[in-house]
Amino acid sequence: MTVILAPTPVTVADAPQLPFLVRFRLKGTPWIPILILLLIIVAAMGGESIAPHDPNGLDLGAAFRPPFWQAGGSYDYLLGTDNLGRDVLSRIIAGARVSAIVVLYAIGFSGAIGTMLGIMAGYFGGIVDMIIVRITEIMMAIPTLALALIFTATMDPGLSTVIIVIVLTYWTWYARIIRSEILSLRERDYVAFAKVAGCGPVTIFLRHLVPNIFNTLVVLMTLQVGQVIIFEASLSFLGVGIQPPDTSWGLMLADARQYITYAWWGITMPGIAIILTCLSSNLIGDWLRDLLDPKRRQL
Amino acid sequence: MMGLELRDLSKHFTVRSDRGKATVRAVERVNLGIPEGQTVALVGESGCGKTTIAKLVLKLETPTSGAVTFDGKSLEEMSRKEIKDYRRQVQAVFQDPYASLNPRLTVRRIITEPILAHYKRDRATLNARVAELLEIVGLPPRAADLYPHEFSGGQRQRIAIARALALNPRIIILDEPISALDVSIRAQVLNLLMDIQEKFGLTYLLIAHDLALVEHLSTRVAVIYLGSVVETGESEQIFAAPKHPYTQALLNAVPRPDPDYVPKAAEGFDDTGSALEPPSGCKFHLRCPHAMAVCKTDNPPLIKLADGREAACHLLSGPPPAQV
Repeated sequence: MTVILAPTPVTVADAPQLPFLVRFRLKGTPWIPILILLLIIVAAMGGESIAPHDPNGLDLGAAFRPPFWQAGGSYDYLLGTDNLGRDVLSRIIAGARVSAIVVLYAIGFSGAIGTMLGIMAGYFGGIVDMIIVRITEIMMAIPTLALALIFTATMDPGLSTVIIVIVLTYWTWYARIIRSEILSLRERDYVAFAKVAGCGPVTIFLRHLVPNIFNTLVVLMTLQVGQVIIFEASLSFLGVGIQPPDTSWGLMLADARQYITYAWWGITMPGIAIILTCLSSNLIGDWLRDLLDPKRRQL
Repeated sequence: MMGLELRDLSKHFTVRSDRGKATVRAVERVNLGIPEGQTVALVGESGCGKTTIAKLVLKLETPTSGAVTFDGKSLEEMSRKEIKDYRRQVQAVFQDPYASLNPRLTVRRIITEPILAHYKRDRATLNARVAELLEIVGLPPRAADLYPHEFSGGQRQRIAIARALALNPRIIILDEPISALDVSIRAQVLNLLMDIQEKFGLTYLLIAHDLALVEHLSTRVAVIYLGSVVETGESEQIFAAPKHPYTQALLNAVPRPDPDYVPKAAEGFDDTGSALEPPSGCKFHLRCPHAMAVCKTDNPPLIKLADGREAACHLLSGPPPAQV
């Protein structure tokens, strides 16, 4: 047979020859969620110093003022006041700090611990895998609230207890999901080829395994933002979380619950803050995932 | 002997089930030489152990017994440095071009990966090499900055071939290199493989179930059945006159572009043996149209025939015993 190597007509989809950063499409950028999250970050950093009132300043004479647009409201208390006459807006701003700290620490630690253990379980397999999987199963069998109550009974309730309980609960998520990701990635042909090419385990790990779990991690972490805020809220609601006079969005919900019939704003305003934060972080997470994935990036 | 050789190579896997442990004899005492500059094809149906042999040769699996030797030295006895050297000389192209390229790396990084695993090279040298390799496999230079998903299956396989060539290897293991591709582009990739073999004096170990491809590309053939070689010899000899009943059945099973053609061995061919519980005696006797009493008890050895090929069948060794 004659060997023909005709220069086969090879068509390659036209790709923008732009620098990496410019290729990030600006069109799909979720500006509103970014703006909301920035506002919350500013609120969390500024805290009491940018709040219009002292978040803990009691003024019983000004109790249950409605928001400014409702009859009886004033521009002095934009989002109204609670049962003790504290400014709701100021308390949301002050609570943003607590919520932000809880979210950052809880997600940071549970993500780091869970991912590390998940990678170890998936990559080494065997006995390491078995031990880690058993520990996650044990952790998942413990009711979260019971764990929280045990911790608050033995330690002081407060910010650090909340963070510890959340980390202990949520790392299993990461461990389980990352483990299964690594298990499937490990068997990919390109990993086999990297071995054939002579790459060491470190290179294979950093180049072929870690970048491919990024998508999952981003999605998990942004999903967790909402869950952590709500979890902190339920802990605070039960009285085992943030202790007054400190405040958090969850504690505000808990405090305002009993007045919901005649002071709807007390519970609605922090509720809206929680919803906006969760929604924004999820939308930003989706966008980040697309940004980090070459398959979606250029479309 | 120079080059690759499989010496009494066996690989068993232990599988656990409800009934306890069982051993799968994926590869059983395979002896095979892969002479320099030739294309040796391993053929057989799926599950017969072809890919396990490829993995053993690529040192992705370790043999249960026996050895893969390279230039006379067993892979198991090699030092780290020698293994690295081996890896430089033996590269691979895998079946599925969608799974064998990391979706997060550009083509440039995919192709330079093997080079950087062995050498330090500056960017200009690497870029020149990438351009050269892309030209060899027939892709435009700007393909280097694209990601795998921007290519078709055939183009991806070209990228995989460029990557395999990056280190100037002596031997390339082709594990079903074209079976995942569209029929329309198989010929192109096949021609490319033949062209680079001639150009660089490569040795191929071809794993395939597509006999047309094997006939086209290979100089030597080893037919594998349930982990063992049943017939091996020059490609032309085997395709012209297969001696082992299994080889005959395989060749008869090739579809022919003739609507009136009725395959001969189609009947009575469903009693598949399993590598988990291989049949006693000759592993093929359950499906063999010529099975005799001796086939149920004795496993026939691989014997050299007059024309130089080897086959393992009682029909071919000595005076045939009485038919059952």
